[in-house]
Amino acid sequence: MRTKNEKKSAETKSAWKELNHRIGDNNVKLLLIAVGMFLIMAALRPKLFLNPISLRTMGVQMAEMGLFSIAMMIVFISGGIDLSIIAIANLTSVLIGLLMQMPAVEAGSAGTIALMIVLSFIIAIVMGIILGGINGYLIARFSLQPMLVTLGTMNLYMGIAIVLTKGKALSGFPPMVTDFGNGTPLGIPVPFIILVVVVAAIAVILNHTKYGFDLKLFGTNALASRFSGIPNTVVTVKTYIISGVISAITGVEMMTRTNTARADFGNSYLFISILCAILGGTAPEGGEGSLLGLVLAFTILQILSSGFNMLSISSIMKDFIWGALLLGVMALNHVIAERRRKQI
Amino acid sequence: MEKKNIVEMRNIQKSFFGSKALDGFNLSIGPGEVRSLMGENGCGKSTAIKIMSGFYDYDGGEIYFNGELQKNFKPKDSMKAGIQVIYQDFSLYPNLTVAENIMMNKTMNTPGHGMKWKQIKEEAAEVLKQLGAEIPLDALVEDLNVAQRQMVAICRSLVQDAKLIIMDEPTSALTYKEIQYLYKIVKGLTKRGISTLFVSHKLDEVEELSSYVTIMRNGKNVFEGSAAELNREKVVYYMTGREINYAPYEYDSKGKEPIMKVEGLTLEPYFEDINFSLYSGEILGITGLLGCGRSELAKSLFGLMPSQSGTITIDNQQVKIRSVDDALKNRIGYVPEDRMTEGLHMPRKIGTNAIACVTDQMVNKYGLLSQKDLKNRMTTALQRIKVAGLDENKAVQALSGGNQQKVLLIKWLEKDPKILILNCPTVGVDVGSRSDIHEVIKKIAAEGLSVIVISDDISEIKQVCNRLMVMQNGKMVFEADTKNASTEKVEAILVANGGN
Repeated sequence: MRTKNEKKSAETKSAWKELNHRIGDNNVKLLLIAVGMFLIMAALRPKLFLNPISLRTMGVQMAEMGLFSIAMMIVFISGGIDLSIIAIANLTSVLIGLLMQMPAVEAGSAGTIALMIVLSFIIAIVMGIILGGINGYLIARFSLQPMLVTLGTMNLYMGIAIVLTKGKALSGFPPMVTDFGNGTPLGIPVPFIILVVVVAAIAVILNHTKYGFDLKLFGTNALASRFSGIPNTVVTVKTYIISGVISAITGVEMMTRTNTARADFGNSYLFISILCAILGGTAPEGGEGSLLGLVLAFTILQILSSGFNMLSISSIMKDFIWGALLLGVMALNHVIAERRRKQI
Repeated sequence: MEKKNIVEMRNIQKSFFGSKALDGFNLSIGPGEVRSLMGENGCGKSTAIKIMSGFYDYDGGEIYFNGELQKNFKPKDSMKAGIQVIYQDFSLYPNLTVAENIMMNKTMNTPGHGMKWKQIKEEAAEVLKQLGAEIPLDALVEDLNVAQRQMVAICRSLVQDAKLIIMDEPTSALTYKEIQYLYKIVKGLTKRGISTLFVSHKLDEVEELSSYVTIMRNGKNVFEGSAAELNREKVVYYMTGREINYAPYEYDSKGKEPIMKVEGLTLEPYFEDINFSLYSGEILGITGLLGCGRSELAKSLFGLMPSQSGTITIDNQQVKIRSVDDALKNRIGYVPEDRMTEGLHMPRKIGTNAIACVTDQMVNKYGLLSQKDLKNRMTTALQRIKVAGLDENKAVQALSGGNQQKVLLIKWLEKDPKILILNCPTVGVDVGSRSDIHEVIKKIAAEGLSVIVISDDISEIKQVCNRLMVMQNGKMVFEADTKNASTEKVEAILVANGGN
């Protein structure tokens, strides 16, 4: 009997080690937290939490948070930061919103509008390349501080959007547009599908391209990269372009879901995306980042956020809690890193 | 009156996470003594210093300051006993003035608020005068050269009533003239009864300065005695525990075409009119004092600092090298001087570092990299140089300096260059790894790679190169086969025209 138990515990131990090795111990912790929180919520509010509608709502809310945090994570790995992600999303959605409001489109056939929806993703990609490219070029070419450059472009892009809309919200797009944004093919919300596609694309880019390999090296030590023949300027510009494209696509997603385009929509996502990246184990000083960790991090934050609503915790408390969480996680990461350093 | 030892360490034990850094280390230093402490990297020298200065705890043994047994002492107590450490980076404030830096610690430790600026300046001027150093009091430390900074650090120790000044490898960044000046200063301190503990790798410095030497290995004393009893072979033996033989590199360029020809290469104000040829399979050494332009020349050949005029011919074809990309296209590799900032990505895996330059060759037809290919390449790359206990998944920063340097060499060998430029390939590397690296350099050259070794260590050049050149103030002033150039001759050339 005893030997059997021992064998079993040895097996669990080695399985545990294998898991730790496979996905990294930080991610194991995050996975446990995510599962734990899911179970707690399911136990506390089973009817509210476990029904398909609220799960679907979570999927939609998670999409925007998730997309912005991926955009943030990738610049974090390069050792930078992109404060202009929300502004890029809003400028893109405003531009597309203006196009959608053109008489020719509004009065157009279903085919025209469907084409416009496809076109808006192409426009988003182009906008992302231009706006992100401006960030990357300024940072790489003139060796400027990423935080200051993107703070500048954040206001610049938002300013353009304000001028274009005269500060008002654009709304009243053709019903097909909102039907798309709120569609649920096979019961899965469209925003969530966009999130899954982007996560898959970034997974390939980070793990299976030369750019992804170079990005981590560049983020760790830009000088050593230069001495290794890694094209630092190209890597930097590409990074901000990827961040810009993800943000612009998120802009389309937000516009089609909410049926509005505004110059100052969703500003709170900026902070949350930084929080997600750090919670997910991305090093703000560059070089390190785990996409799996990030996915787990925004899942955790989403469960937490939905949980607050279901437990009727005032939304006024949220900012306080997010802020405290960010500082807490950073302090904890520091302590863990210190301890590990001493072990070496 | 009986002379008490300023510091006495008896049978000191210290472990870090199970591995012993000090294992029964003894050291006692009396007043007015100059002592040299020698040992390989990782032998426990720095640990011993940090214990003496109260920075680290120790696990066992006894420490006496001025004859008094110390228990649980802090850096403050160590300073009170007159022990001052000058670390390699000097720990100065670059944005403050010379006077402020000299007086900073003393002022902080005197009671009372408010700054007595006049007194601070007077005292700083006084201590500079004692050393005979002419450094303006109001100059910012960031504008000083290395030697001047060192003087400021020494002055800072003196104003705090130092009885023992510990200098951690003080000559590593100094020119020949500056080193001579430092010797004079140390001898002057001795006359005033102030002791010095001189941490060094280099035997000639030890011979010049001190009558008494302590050599340590694996946290223990292995030699105590006068410098006169030592020679280079003995020092190497004591430091590494093994004998290392020096066989010079044999090479004959007869009937061979040069692979690279450099003519009239100029980059003001660093170097001008540099001419030389490099033959395939040879090891060419370039030496010169710090600031002679040797590093800039290397960077220029690698496209980091493009030259203003002159030509570079590779395989009889004139090439332009204006960027790192150009250099790589011409199959030139460069192992930089500072492996921590320029060479390696320290927190990244050993394997990742080893293949950092070659991923472009591994992109498949879909434009992607396969993790399996990467892994296999890491494994094969790391077989190029045998390194004990090398695990490709460990971070490079967990390795010793010597093994880091080997990984850096692997990284460039993996790129398969035709010409490899090595800038100070064994700086901060222990004696054992140093000879391993030298063997690797000779082996790859014998296989046909052309190597340029830049080093300020003439003995290193003599050991690995078949030909050597001397640079001075941006010009090549001497060239000879290594066999025909004795160390003394090269040193004489270096000193003759002074340098800066």
